[in-house]
Amino acid sequence: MTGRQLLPAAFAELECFVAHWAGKTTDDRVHARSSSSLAEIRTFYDAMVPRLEEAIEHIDAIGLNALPPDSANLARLVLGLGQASISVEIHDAAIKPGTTFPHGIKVSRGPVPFG
Amino acid sequence: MIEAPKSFTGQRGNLTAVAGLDTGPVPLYPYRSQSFFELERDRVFRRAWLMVGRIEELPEPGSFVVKQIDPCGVSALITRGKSDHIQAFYNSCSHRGSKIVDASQGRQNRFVCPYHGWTYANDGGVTNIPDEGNFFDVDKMSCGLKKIATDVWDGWIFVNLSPTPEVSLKEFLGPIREHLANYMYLGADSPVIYTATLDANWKVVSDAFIETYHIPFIHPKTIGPTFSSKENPFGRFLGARILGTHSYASMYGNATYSTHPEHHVERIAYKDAASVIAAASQSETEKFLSHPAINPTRSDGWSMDDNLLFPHTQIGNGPGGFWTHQFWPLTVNTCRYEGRFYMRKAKDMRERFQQELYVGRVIEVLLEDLKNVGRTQEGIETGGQEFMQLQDSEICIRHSTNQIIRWVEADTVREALA
Repeated sequence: MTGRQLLPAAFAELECFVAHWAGKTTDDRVHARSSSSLAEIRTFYDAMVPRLEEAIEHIDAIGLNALPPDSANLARLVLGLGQASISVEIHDAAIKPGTTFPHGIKVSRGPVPFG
Repeated sequence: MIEAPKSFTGQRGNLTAVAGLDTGPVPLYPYRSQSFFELERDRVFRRAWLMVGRIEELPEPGSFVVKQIDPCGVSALITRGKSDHIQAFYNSCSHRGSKIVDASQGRQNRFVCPYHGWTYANDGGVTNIPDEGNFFDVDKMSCGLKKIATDVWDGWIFVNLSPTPEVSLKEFLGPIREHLANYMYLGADSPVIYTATLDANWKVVSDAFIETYHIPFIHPKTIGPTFSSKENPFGRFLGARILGTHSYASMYGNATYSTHPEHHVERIAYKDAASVIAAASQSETEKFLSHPAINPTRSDGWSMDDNLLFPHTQIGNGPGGFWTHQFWPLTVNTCRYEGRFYMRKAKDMRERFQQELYVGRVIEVLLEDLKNVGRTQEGIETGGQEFMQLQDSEICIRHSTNQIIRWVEADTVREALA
């Protein structure tokens, strides 16, 4: 591969998920999971969960507030998994059964950084 | 504080009776009547001191925020001046009344009206009138921005839309000042903010946030297991307090709740930590938790406390920090919700990940409430029910509805507070 990589080399197999799941803000990531099918969410969840612990350690080895672009993408991808896990672990559905999306609840400011 | 009996099943609790509140049915017309809504706007929201933010939103001289005071249609420009004085103004130009500031916050010492360039200092005084010579001896001294009565208590900024408020903020707050004295507002400069417009009267939404009776039914998967257990299946309160026009409740929690073995992400997130989102270090948090208004019964089975600051604000806290909910009326059956959850800047990725899970989970809880409040409003608007039947742990709803009716009926604020 030439040019900048989206993710640190050790996590290259997860690059296909960056565009959709590594949203810039919490609200973007909520939007990503709420507008996906459960099958899409599960594909991402199943690929990410085995790498989660390692990804957290990778980011903390550098420092949350000093991340180069590829590791910052990884951090946002991890946060995207946080949102995806709500569909898988709480609802067993993309969004809470009986609700619709967009739902009108906005996170106008998420936690710092990547909020 | 009135402490509830130690048994949470069977015989009725004693909170309402000990507080000396009436125990009869409570009317529903305040939730659906257009004429009541208009009275509420004029007699509650135009006469009460309204909490509009915290001083941390104005971190230095020159900082400003703009707040929308629904349902009164008032855009308020709140500035922090050179001497750190915090003052709210109507966001309206003295020339022809135009709105001046569109931004919601920022830092600037001068405000220029976009229409004709009238310029104001952040103390409200007009500093420049373009082509002043063509006006008719305009008196610049009297052309400053119109002030809104403003006061600050313990970092909370309040405004009062009465031209001359009948009572001081101190008198309005009454016993809640003492109740929350020396409270530590951990992480006050770093809120996560949620907003939503809801299809329900603002009191329907506020009521849903001040009782835990609904939690096992509306939130069975999200927070149900946290707020109820076999010992206390319907989330009866640990205790409550009537604080003048305000009120307070300490809420039960299930200390034995643990993560589900197949919830892999949740388990990894909380690997080394208690499932608490902390706003500060452990020692700061311990100090925070020692406050007498936080888990006052020192119960192991405790989840949160909630302070209902009349009319439309709740200040709550859990084991890790505090939050606020505000319910701004828009129309008789719509309102604007704003929640602020204060948490510290994460020290590492695992903590940041926990915060993301927490924020995501709060959305799910809000979503459950959002759907439910719309359904509640629809039911109320059928007109089939005249009254609510409120149980002992719905004491804060009873008190706040009584208070709203009292303010609407009272000719003076002093009479409402008496």
